[in-house]
Amino acid sequence: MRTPNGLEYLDNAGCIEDYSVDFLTGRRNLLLVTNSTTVLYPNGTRVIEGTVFGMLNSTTWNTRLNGEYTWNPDGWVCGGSNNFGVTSTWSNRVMTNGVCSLSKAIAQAADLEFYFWDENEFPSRYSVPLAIEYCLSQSTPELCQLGFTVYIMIIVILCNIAKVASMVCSFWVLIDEPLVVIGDALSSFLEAPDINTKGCCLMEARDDISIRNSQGRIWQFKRHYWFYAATPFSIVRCFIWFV
Amino acid sequence: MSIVHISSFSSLPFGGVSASAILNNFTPHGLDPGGFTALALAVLVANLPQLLFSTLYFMYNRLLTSMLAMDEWSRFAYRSATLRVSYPSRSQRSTYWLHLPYTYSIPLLITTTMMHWFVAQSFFLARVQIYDADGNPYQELPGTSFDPILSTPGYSPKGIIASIALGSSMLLFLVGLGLRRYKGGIPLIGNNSLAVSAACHPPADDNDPAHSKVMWGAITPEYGTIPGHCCLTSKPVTPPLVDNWYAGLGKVIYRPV
Repeated sequence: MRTPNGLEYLDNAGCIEDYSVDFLTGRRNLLLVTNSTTVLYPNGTRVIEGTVFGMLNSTTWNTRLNGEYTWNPDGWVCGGSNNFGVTSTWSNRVMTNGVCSLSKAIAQAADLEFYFWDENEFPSRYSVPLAIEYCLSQSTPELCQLGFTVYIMIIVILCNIAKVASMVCSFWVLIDEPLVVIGDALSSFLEAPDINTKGCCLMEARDDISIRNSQGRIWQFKRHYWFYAATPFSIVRCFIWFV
Repeated sequence: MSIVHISSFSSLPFGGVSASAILNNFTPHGLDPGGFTALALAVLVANLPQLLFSTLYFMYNRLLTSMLAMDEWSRFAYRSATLRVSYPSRSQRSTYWLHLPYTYSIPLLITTTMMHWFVAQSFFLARVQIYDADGNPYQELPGTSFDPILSTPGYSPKGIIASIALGSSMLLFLVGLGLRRYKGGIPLIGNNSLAVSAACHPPADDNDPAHSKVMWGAITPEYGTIPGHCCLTSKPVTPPLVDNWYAGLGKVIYRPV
């Protein structure tokens, strides 16, 4: 239902749900409508005949920038300011262990109640409860912009150029028999055996190279763990980095 | 940092911006939260986890490479094959895969891509513009000198949990792989060039072993030759015998203890 002045009708539950989001992007101002234009006070006087009883500023970010507390997306159905907000009767019903429960609030939305303090009429600051009948919401087109920073883009482009250049260099410039895979090393040593390791035919990667000698050694059959192939330092470093 | 209550966890988006999951008061005091310096700082902080994961990827890849290169080498003890090299000539095989076989490199590629995505969903740049009750962008918040555009790192608990879960499974996989055992029967030469060269002393009559099918083992000794000799060669080899003495091809003075 769309009202003539561009405000959208929302029932209490829809109103609580739509306005309890972290960032309000498709809606703006909210009117909570009550039918209580007349309230009788304990002394029997008829006091309220008005149209606007209270308001909250929706600039949540005031709070974050150390400004005045006003309205909070995850708290307005359970609290309020000094002069305007939900009644304690209502907040007791929707809070669980001090935490505001949105699902409870939606389930009991028909009973939503606000209070206000009329300081002019009542120096004693009597709290007046107002039953909320429905809400009127101002819808607004959602604004989402593409953020674009030239400086960061230039840095990214330069980094990419440097990366492509390095790749081209390593592919076209470094072509003289690279040692990339183990077969490259084996091929090289088979073609030109290294005189320094003659006789050390059972040598392993983790052997103490200072005791190498050409007397060879006795063969023992061992089945190493796969971890044995990597240096302990690289294993430890990788595990630390994971943590 | 704001604390996300556990009951509201399920409502938080995977990677989306949420007011309860961004770093409040991130911008250092005195710096305009909407300015370029704050933006650049937020970009760097939000992307730092990506850098950390990239570094981890190099270390992880290095461990896998070392272990799988030795797996490739171990097979020379059981079957004869040509060498797999970067620039093959004649009968040599090419490096269809660089250092990891496809059975490892493709899952690793998929996992790291997912991990980078999870990390990107976990920590990201949140930039928020505030509008007033009339729908105009705030130029300046009342009572402050701050521009109400906010650049700050945001985080997504769901993304973080996904990242931790995937990271842990990568670690478990590595541990599982590291605790496998090689088939044995060949010295583990690793990436140690000294040990690699020690395994490459084929007999003089071996004709061009680098371009032939080679296998590692003990070569048939000439009559009376003690000790024996093991090497990678295209000549026929037998598995070395336990408790036997193996050294070079030349004369040796004494037997090692």
